[in-house]
Amino acid sequence: MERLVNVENLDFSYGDRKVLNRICASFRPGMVYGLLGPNGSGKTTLLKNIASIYKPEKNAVYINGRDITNMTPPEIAKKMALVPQSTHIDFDFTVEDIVMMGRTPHIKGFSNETDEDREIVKWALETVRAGHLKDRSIKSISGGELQRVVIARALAQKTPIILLDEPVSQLDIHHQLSIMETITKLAHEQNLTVVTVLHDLNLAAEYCDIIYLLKDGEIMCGGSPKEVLTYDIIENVYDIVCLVYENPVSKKPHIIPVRSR
Amino acid sequence: MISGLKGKLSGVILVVLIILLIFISAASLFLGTANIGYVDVFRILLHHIPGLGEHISMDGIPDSAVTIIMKLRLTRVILALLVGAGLSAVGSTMQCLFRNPMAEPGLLGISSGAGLGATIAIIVGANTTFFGMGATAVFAFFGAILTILVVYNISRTGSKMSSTVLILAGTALSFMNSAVIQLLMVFRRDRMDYIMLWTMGSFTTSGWNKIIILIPFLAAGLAVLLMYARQLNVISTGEETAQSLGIEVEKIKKILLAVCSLVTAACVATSGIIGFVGLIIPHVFRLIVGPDQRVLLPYSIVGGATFLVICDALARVVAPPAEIPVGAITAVFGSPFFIALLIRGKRSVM
Repeated sequence: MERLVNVENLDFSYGDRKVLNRICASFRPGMVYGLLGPNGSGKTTLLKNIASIYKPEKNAVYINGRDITNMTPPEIAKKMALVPQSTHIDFDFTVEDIVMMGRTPHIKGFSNETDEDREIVKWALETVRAGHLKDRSIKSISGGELQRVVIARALAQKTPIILLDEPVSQLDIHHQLSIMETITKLAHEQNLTVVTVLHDLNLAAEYCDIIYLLKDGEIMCGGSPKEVLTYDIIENVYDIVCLVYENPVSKKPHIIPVRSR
Repeated sequence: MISGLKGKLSGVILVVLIILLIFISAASLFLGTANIGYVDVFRILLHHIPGLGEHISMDGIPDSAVTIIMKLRLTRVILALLVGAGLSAVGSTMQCLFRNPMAEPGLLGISSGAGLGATIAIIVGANTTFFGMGATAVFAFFGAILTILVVYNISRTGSKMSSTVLILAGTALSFMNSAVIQLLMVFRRDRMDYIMLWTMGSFTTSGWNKIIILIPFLAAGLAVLLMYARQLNVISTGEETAQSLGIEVEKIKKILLAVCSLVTAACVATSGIIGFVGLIIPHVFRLIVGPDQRVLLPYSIVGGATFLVICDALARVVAPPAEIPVGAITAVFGSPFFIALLIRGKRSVM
C-alpha cells in the first residue's frame, strides 16, 4: 500500500535541547494514527514538523515521496490540514467565514471565493453536523461546536492528510466520542490519512488503527493498540502502575491507571 | 450584527459614504474665519476645473478669497482627508495583524520617532527644503523610519519576528522618544510652542507640495493593504493556523509592517501626531460591518477620511480666531461617540 507520509531519521532541537531523535514513521491512507506519550515526549513537536509549522531538516519528511522542504507553503497546505490543540479567535467572524478560510490554499492570488468553494464549505459543515451553525458568530458557540467548526475548516481544505493536535482534550465525554467517531469515519470512508496526538490512552485504543508511543523524543514502539498498549510498555513509558483489560464491547485494550510509581 | 455586511449591499453603502465624504469636504470649505459666500466658493472651485473653468466668471471675487479657498482651505481639507484615510487604514491593518485591540499607527514608536525628528529639526532651526518639503517634515519622516527599523531589529530572531517583542520594543522606544522630546523642550524653552503645536497635530501648514508627496505613499500603501486583506483575515485567526493554510505569514507580516510604517511616517511627517483616528475608527466600523478586512478596510479608509475632515472643520470654527489642535478635537469629540457605541452595542470590541 502507498505510503503517503514518510518520516525518516528526523531530528529536531529547540536551541540546544534535542526534542526529536532519529524518528522514523510512515503513514498510509485510510488509517487513523495516534501519537501518544508523556508530556514533553515530543509528540506535538513531531506533528508540527510533519505539518511544516516547524521547519524540519532536509530529507527527513516526505509527502508522496517528495521532500517537504522542497514544497511551497500552498503546496503543503493542499496536502495537509492541521487542527490545532486549541483555537482562540478574537474577531467576530461567522462560522461560515472561518470554514471558508480552509479554502485559502485553493484560492489563487488575490481573487475571491467561488460558488464551488461555498459548496465545499457547506459540505464540510454538514459532515461535522454543524450546518445549522453557519451564520452564528464564532465567538458565540460552545467549545465542542468550535472544535467541530475547526475540523470542518480542515475538511474544507480538501487534503488527503489531516493532522490533529489533541483535538478532544478540552471537551466533555460526549463530544470526545462524537468527534473521534467523525474523524475515524472520515479516514475510513474517504481514505484520508489521519494523524492525531492524543493524551487519553483509552480513546487512542478505541479509535486509532496504529499507535506510535513516544518517550524522550524517540518512538518506543508502534503498532496496533493491542500490540502497543500492554502493561509492560505502559509501565515503562509512563512510569505508572496500571491494569490492562479487554473492553468487552470493542475487544480493544482498556487501561485502568492505579497509581504513579 | 453577526454576519457583517456582505457583497453588493456593502458596496452600495460604501458608495453612499464616499458621496457623503465629498459633500462634507465641499461643505467644510465654507467654514473658516474669513467670510466667503457659498456661491463664491463654488465659483472659485469650478473656475479651477480644467475645461470648465473658462466658462465661470470670477467677477467680483477678490483675489484674497481665491487664495484662501484654493491655497489654504482646499489643501487643508484634502490633507485631512488623506491623513485620516491613511491612519485609519493602518490602524485597521495593525489591529488584525497583531490581534490586539490597542494596536494603532503609533504602536511601534513610529509617531514618537517622527515627533523626535521634528523636534530636532525645530531646535536646530533647519530650514532647508527637500523636494518642496520643509526640513521638519523630512526629519520627522526619517525619525519615524529609524525608530521602526530599531524596533524591528530588536524583535527579529533569524527570519522570524515576535509580535509581542515588537509591541513591547515599540512601546519602550515610544517612551524614550517622548522623554527626549521633553528634555529638548526644557533645554530650548523658546521653541516649546512650536514643538507642542507640532506634536499635537495640525493641518494649518498644509499645501499642495505636501499633498503631492503624500498621495503616492497612500495610493501604493493602501493598494497593498487591500491586496492582502483576505490573507490578513486568516492571519487574524492565528499565525500557526494561517501557516497551515499555506500563507507565508512571516513574509506578509514584514510587507504589511513596512507599508504601515511608510504610510504612518508620511502622514505624521506632513501633519504631526494625530491620535485616536487610527485606533477608534477601525473599531467603530468593525462594530458596524464586521471583522472581514476586505469590507472593513475600505470602510475604515472612507470613515477615517470623513472623520478627520469633520474634526479639522471643527478645529477651525469652534473658537475663532484661535485654532484648536485637531488632535484634541479628534479625542474630545470622538471618545463620547465611541463610548456610546460601546454601551449600545454591549458586545466585545474585537
